[in-house]
Amino acid sequence: MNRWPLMSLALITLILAMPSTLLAATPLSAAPAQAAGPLTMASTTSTQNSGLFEVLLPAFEKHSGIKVHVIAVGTGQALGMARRGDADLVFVHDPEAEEQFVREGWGLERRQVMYNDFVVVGPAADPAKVRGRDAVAAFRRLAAAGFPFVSRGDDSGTHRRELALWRQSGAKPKGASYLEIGQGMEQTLRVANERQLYTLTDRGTWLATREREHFSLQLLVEGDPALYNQYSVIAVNPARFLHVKAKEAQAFIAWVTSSAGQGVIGNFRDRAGNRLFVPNAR
Amino acid sequence: MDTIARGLWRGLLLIASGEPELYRIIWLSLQVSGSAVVLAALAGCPLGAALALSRFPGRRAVVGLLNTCMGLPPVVVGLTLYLLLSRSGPLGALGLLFTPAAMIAAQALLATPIVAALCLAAVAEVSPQVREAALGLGASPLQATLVVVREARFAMMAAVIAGFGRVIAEVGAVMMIGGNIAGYTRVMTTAIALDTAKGDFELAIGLGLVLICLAFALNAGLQALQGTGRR
Amino acid sequence: MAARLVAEGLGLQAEGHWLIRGASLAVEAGAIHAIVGPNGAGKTSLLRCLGLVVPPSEGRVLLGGCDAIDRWPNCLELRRRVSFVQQRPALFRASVFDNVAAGLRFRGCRGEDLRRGVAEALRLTGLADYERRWPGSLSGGEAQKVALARAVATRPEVLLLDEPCASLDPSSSAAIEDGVRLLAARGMSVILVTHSLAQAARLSDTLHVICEGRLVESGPTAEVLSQPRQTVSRQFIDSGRLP
Repeated sequence: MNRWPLMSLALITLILAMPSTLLAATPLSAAPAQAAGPLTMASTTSTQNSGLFEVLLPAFEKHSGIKVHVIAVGTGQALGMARRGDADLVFVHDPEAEEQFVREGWGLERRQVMYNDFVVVGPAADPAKVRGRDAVAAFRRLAAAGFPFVSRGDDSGTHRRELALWRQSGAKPKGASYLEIGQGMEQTLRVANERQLYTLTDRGTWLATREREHFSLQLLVEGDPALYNQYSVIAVNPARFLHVKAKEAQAFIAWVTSSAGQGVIGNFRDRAGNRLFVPNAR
Repeated sequence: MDTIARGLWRGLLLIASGEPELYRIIWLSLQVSGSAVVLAALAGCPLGAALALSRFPGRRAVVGLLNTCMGLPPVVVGLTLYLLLSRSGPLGALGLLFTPAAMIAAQALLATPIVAALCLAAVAEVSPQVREAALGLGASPLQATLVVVREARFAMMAAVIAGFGRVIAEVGAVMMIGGNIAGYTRVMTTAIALDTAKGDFELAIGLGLVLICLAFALNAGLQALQGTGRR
Repeated sequence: MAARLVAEGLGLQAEGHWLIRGASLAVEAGAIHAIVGPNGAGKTSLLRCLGLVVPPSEGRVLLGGCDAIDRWPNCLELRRRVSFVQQRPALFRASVFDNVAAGLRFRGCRGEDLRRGVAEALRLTGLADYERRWPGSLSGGEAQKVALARAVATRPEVLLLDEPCASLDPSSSAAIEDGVRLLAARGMSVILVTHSLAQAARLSDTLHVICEGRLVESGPTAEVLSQPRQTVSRQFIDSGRLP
């Protein structure tokens, strides 16, 4: 029986299907007719979830005509993406990792953009007695109490800061009460609230979620310079990847560090009216 | 309970209000999954039919492979495609990562085995008497094959709908490949994931309601097709 | 008159054993032949070979003098001179119209010609108003009539029927028999397999008895029924005779 017409038809269709999808879908993927194509920026979930980009990026687009696509992942992942050439610039908050990134030649230059701070939150009764202004001491006391802590565990900026603080306190977190959940900040706070544990969070997310979700957690540690959280932007090195949109990336960096961009950041308020970021470009 | 009720109400209001963000997301989802399932049908229907009608050494293995691929976890497909499409990957020069085109490709890869396997079942289920009846009426071998495939048309349509149902509801592949970029690659499932994480339950519930309604509609379509097939 | 269809030494082998062996017969225009025999004797296999639906393992099938088996599988033209109706016909999942039109469509017939051909075939089998019906809503008798209509719509030279009246009530049976007589009167050659000796006596002018894959007896119906020459055929015929 002659089955070959069907078989060959199927094979040909399979072979043709993939490239033609990709070609046919170009209308969907085509950037709107503009001077320059869209910029791909790898940033962090906490920055995206704050809502800053919904204000900052349209302002930039209005000024320059350049659209920015944000891929929000953890800081570690964002830098990893840049190392693979899948982003044109990064907007993250982990100075140590950023400096290594530039040192290894992946990024051109680290430019400060804005800052806020981390805080330690925990159960209102504060059983581990961490309340105060000393972060490292707090972490030492948490260690002594058996690490009743929820960690983001996702290689984000917050997670890395948490690990740095453990290192500085001389303790290695382990045990049944130390929960590494591998998720975003809001989810981490929810878990901490449910289980009445401590966690490290950026102030912005804390302010935003605390009211909305009626947490019973309290802010316990703040003000320590070790909790200072600096956001920087780095353009990916075009020498490493020829396709990188170097000019557009520089345009963004120039704008976001200019008084215009800094003004947008300084004026940004979240839904509850809190100011989440302090512009500090040099 | 209160949150759920409030969220449901706000979600419904959002849908009724014609909120552009919501409808943009829904439209993109339909475009991406729709295109993907068209491709899956183009590749899967002939493949399934051909496998059902042919005999060759190793056919069992191929069919087994196809059935295994039906259960491919979307995140795994997403991860594999991500590694391929990344700039440092073999297909990086195409520059397709984080675009709707790549999402369509990922979902087409997910849907094709389902469509193919179900079409295979549909055609295999057709009684061999049908082919013989066609031959007895003077059909050429090719014409007889087409008659068999036509016999299975309702079940094949159901296969395509099943494929669509799978991809419109998945989040693993489109999240990885698309990057959930606002206004560009954000579809219903990734938007729900994001908004849930942010605690923005209104939009998430609104989209969730839309997805559930879609599931109902798809199911109704499937039932109607199965009913027609039994006439 | 020259024979329309001639079978010479047909044999069909499956899984090591012979379903039919050494079968030969010849049918003229307008003749009705009946094939009878016990269950499993090979009646359906013989018919399938004659209908060129299945290639025989040995032997020849000549239509108008041309050997179809010689040209197998490129014998489509010859195959289209014959219509084969299965024992339990598989109607297509489509309207009665589309079922009856199928054969015509295979041959490239379209439009007005197609409609006329279908209407005529339906009229012949008494199904004039059935065009829009679907197989699921038909009774057994109606389905059989549709199968017959679909086979004759293409005006074949030879019509092969495998137990066309099995599981039909007497009135539907009679209707089918009338149809067969009408077709033969118009010049069609008919070979039908039947389990009813009475039907064979009523309809056919030539009778073949098949036992264990071999045509043991062939001849004018009345003769074979009254004076079967072979023992096996006599046993079979006697067993079927009413007391």
